[in-house]
Amino acid sequence: MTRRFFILFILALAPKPLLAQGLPFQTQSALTTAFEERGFRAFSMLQRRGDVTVVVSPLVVLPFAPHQRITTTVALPIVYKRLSERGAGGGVRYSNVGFGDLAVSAKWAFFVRDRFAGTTRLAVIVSGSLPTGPTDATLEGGGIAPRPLQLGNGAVSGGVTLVGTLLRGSWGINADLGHFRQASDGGFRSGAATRYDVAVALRIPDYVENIHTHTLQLYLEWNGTLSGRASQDGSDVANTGGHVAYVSPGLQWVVLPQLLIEGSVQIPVIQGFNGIQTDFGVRPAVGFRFLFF
Amino acid sequence: MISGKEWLVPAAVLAGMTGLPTVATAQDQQENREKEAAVDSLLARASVALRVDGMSCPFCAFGLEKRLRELAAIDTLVVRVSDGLVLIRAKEGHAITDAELEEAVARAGFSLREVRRVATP
Repeated sequence: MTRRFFILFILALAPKPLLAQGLPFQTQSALTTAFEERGFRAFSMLQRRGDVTVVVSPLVVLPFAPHQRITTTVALPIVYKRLSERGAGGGVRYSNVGFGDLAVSAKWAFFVRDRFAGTTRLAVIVSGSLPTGPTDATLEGGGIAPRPLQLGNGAVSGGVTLVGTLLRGSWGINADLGHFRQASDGGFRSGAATRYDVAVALRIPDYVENIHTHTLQLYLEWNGTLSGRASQDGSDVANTGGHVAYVSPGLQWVVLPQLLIEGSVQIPVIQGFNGIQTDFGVRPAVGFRFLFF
Repeated sequence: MISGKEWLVPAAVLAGMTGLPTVATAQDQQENREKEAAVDSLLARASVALRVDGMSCPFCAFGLEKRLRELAAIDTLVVRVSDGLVLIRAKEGHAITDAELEEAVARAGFSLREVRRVATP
């Protein structure tokens, strides 16, 4: 099954020169153009893993670009977590809603080669999150809720991502490779994670007359994460970490010059866990991006 | 479960990003020539026209328009995305320098290839 998806994925990348559009849903973009300044992005993503349901709704603000090749973001997620009763028709055993961890990032495009109706760019993104989300929620019967049910991670985390974007007319490709680490919280440390993404895009129509032209962007993404085992007081925690990858078809509709509506569905195709872990389910997401003039 | 071969996909893509072929087919080249001819026709009717490289979507163009409108001397402007073209009319009695235009385009994240001015009667 997994091998078949890989073959399909590679075939999807193969035809003609790989040319593209920007702004995929999950994959990072190396663009640092002015639409990444004074903007706002919000989306909601539904995640299910066994009895745990999580809805994450990050509010991403693109506050300013101190230089034409540097953009910054600040993101504050609203997180809803729910633990259901086991079995059919089970009720809610636990739920929690509130703000998660505050995340900040800065992107620097260190290679830019523009051309007629296209561009080739490479960028590096430095990102991190602060433990602003609460980690002291309790279960109904008393006692602290387990980590996966808390809204915050409880520790500072950070990472570096290399991003490439290639746009040629109505076609485009974005790819990124990032490494992330998290500090220890009470002796517990999540495993280091390496994330890799590739997104192929097609814009419809091919010819965009002006900024008022309504366009549709179709995306096919591959989103993968390799996580190491978590540790507690220096010792590995069993049944943590592994390789998870999704195939993510998505689309975006530029409704107005400053408004874009987007949706994506992440379908898990690799769930190569360390030890015994519960599989992830399909992850649908919808959202929008808005630019303030 | 993790064979390691999966790394070949992102590694190959990232390694090849800058070197991916910009080879165009004969049909692509013909289309480009036709588009360039259309741009030339538009340029002939503009008072100030910019050729801007790097634009590929309305969202990009909106960012460029946002930057250019910050120039007080600009009266109206039109961004032709697929032509890589910006047509500008300056306010009466105002002048826009090449340096101002170049800076605005650069701040929008694009590259200004050419500024063409046409004397108006």
